[in-house]
Amino acid sequence: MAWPIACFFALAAVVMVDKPVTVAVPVPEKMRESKIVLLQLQGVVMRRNAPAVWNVFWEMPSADAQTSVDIAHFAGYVTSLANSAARSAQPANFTLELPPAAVRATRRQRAIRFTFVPVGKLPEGGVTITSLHLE
Amino acid sequence: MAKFTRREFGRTILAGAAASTLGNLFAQDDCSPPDGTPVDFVIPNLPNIQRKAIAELTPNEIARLRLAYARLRALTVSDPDDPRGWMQQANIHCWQCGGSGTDIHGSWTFFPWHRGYLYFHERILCKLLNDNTFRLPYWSWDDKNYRNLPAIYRPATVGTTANSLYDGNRSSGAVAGAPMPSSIFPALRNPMNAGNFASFGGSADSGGALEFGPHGAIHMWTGGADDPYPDMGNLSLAARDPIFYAHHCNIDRLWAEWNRRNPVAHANPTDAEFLTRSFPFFDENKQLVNIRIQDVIDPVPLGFSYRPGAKLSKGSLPKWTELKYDSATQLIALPDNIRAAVAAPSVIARQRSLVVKNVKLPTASGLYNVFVGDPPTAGADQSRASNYVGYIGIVVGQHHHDHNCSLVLDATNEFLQRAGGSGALLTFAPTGTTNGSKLDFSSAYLTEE
Repeated sequence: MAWPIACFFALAAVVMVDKPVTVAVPVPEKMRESKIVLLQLQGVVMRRNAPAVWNVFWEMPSADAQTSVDIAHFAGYVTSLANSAARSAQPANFTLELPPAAVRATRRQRAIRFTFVPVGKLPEGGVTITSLHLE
Repeated sequence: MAKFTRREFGRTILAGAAASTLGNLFAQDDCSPPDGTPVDFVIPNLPNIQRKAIAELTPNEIARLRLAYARLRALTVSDPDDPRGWMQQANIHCWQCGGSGTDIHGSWTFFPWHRGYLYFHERILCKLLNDNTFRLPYWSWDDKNYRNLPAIYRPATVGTTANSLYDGNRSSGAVAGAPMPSSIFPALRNPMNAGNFASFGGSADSGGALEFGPHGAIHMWTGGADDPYPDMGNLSLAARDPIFYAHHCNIDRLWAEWNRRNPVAHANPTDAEFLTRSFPFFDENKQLVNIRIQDVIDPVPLGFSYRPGAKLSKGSLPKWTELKYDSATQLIALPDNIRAAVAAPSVIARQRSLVVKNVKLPTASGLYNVFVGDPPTAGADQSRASNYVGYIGIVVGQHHHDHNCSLVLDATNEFLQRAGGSGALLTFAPTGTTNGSKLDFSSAYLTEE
């Protein structure tokens, strides 16, 4: 499979500001027979004085804010509420279960591309996802 | 039904009128930890009463709900230091959302902490109403017919009286009764279809799909997406809106429903780190109480339950078949209509479980193995025996309660053969012994995925 230039393996932090970001997440060999595959977003950091919402699509690097969420390539969405009491931007972790078609894709691909699409305005400085992996 | 006295009526008008500005009396980030020495929680002796959807409430029940919140708000005015009062209750949530306490959001503590919070909130409202039959209603937004702010929460006044369910800090769409955006409920991605608890409810350090999906999205939609993100749109202020409690009551119901749909795959974590974690809340008598997660796993001993069923799902449900059970011989038998299906070889290995309900638990602490037929000879690894189907772990503690429970066991080939033949008898024995006793229960089911 050819990888577009805009796509990179998610070994470094992913920073989402105002545009979609696509990353490729390697599929561990031991997971190829798994019935349930979870995408773990770890060390997600953002300012908590504003909310954040983003959609996640799999194998759909063209996805943007107008892309319907009622399609098979939609993997889910993440909300983070504003929290005026939070003393600091503590990192958070999120777990997304892949839809069945994406699970089937993990059996034949060495990596799955995920596109993160901001919904509305993100907090100042954007959202940083320190690491991603499948388990 | 609790009575609304004339004196109280006047006081509540005052409290209601002040409700929209009451927040100004308190600092935005008033997240001080609760003050007091907690005692351990004791399982109460409460009748099990189903919580109802807001849409199902009768006019009398709506009046009782409004009265409950009116009294809660009045308590804040008459005694701001009373830990049961409206703002003090809201600040408990603030304290546990990253204020000065541990943040219970974004991990597997999200569901159980809120269940405990709602339980004590409900007990306080019962006390203020002097009515033990009051139960919180839930906002059934899983049903597409109820995906707007419930009408009884919208008006600022009801007649000439302040509406205690009103909050002035809501989005214009919520206030107008507009429908939620459909993007909150994607057609093909549904948290109720989560395959395991890590996906549905999170893990020790990660949030699950219901929390950061519809839960968060509905918070934002209700509170508004514009700076300064008031009340429902802000974790630290969210519990200042009465709809918060109905919203979380529905979250709690969906947790119970998700558990019910598949007792095997949808089991809650059993890690000691999870079950023994405890949280402090003020009870209806102003006493600070430490409640453990294991105390809230089953809602029935806490005096409430939910009618099975929810509409937020397109997923397939596990098939449940009630098995024949002769209480005299205590033998389980397969119904005729499924004997052939169970005996037939399947290309796809099916996951079958045996669920027995209302089990009479052993009274002594310990680990008990459960078998089909007599326990095997002691000394061998009994869990490897062909007739082993599971175990029961009993910890008799200070607060042990003898309520009935259900057991999920493996529907092994040996069990199916015996149940399809002359009948299967379940026994249990302390680990490593042959002192088997018949397992006493009321009914048995076979579940199949």
